Amino acid sequence: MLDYDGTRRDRRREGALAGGMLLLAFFLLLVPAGYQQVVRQGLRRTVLRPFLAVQAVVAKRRSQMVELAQLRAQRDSLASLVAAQAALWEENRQLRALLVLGDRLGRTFIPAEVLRVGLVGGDGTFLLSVGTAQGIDVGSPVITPEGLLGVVREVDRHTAQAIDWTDPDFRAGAMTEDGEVYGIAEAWRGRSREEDVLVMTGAPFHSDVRPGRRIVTSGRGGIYPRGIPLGIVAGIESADTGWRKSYLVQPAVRPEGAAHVLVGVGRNGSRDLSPYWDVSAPPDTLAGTSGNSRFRGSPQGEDDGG
Amino acid sequence: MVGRRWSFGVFIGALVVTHFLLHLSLGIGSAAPDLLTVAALLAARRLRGGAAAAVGCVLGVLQDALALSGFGAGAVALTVVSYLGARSRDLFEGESSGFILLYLLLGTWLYRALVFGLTLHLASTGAVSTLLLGGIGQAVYAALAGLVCLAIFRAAGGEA
Repeated sequence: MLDYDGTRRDRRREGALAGGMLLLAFFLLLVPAGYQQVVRQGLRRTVLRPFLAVQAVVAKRRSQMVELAQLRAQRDSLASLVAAQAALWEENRQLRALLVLGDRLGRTFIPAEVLRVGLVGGDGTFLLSVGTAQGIDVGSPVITPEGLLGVVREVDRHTAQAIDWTDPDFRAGAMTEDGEVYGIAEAWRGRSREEDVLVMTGAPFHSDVRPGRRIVTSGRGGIYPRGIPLGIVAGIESADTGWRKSYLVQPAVRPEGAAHVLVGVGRNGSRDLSPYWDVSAPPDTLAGTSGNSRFRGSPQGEDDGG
Repeated sequence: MVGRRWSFGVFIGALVVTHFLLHLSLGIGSAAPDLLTVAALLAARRLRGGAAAAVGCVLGVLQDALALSGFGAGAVALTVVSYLGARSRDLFEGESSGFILLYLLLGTWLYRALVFGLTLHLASTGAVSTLLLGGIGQAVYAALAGLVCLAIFRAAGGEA
């Protein structure tokens, strides 16, 4: 540590150094997202790696310390989903084998632990205890027994970074559970994080979705499987202008309460999970498919997972 | 003198490691104080402006590596805050607990305000109340935690 003596030349030199650092910081702020990702991943794989390694151990220990009944309930819910997925996977495998498409899909969802970092500016970001080694990919959906939590954005070998629905970049194709009204779900910021909710934008102006109706993913966009609950309609958003309506949606999953999740392995956007949440929407005529084992077209600009 | 410098450097390093242990390894989240900003601010009081800015930039980039949006905002904010912290010695001399508490409080809140401003375009609607209420609360928390850490360091003989 050096004491500051305040000579003019020193001040000039220090000012230049500080200016250079500020320029470097601004450069990092303004550089394209692809380059930012390289720097982020580089830091996570080097300097921050020991902390992430400890995190993996802590996450395991923590899950062992959760109250037994609560843990059993969560695990049972997740296990039923995994089991359902396994059946679906087997059905898909057989169909694909019949169509000579080959065995390209593995198990579609795997369990993972959630870790909140809680840093300034990173409220909607969380870490997962799974990575490329477990088959996780960018765009993999993150779900809980209650519904959709978020989507994976960056993946390392044994960890992944994901955003939840409170992140401003989150978008998901949405529809009412009966499939009558389609729109796009995104975050709507409240005065505090606890007051954040979802808003379904882009619904037709003539639509009349009553409070209490369930909103689920529509499957449009090819990121999120169809039929995952997003939340319950709470009312019409006050800023309701133009030819579209927006509905406030009380989210099915509160991010701060999610500790154990299921993460999609590979691309799941063409799947239909409606039966697992008792969603009875008819086939999406725009997407032009009705089966859960057939590839569905993906209109651009709907759910992009950020 | 050299020993004191080293011990203070180790103290700053320990604050940084503790910060990442609490936030990243243990996943305590916002329940843990922002010791990274506290470390940058305390180091800034002992460094020249350029070196303080460099420390702030490096720590800010580390912080940014854990957020998927607004990369670089933390680096810019911590660089500015650290530089101002170093230059604050031209205006204010003092090592009293009250002064350090106020210095850490203002510095931490300024950091949060700068990050908020730089990432404002990312939010769907503004949440200035979050900055004014939650931000001040977090800044007070960080300042108190920083003061306690500094007191422990001084009591341990790291500094008179």
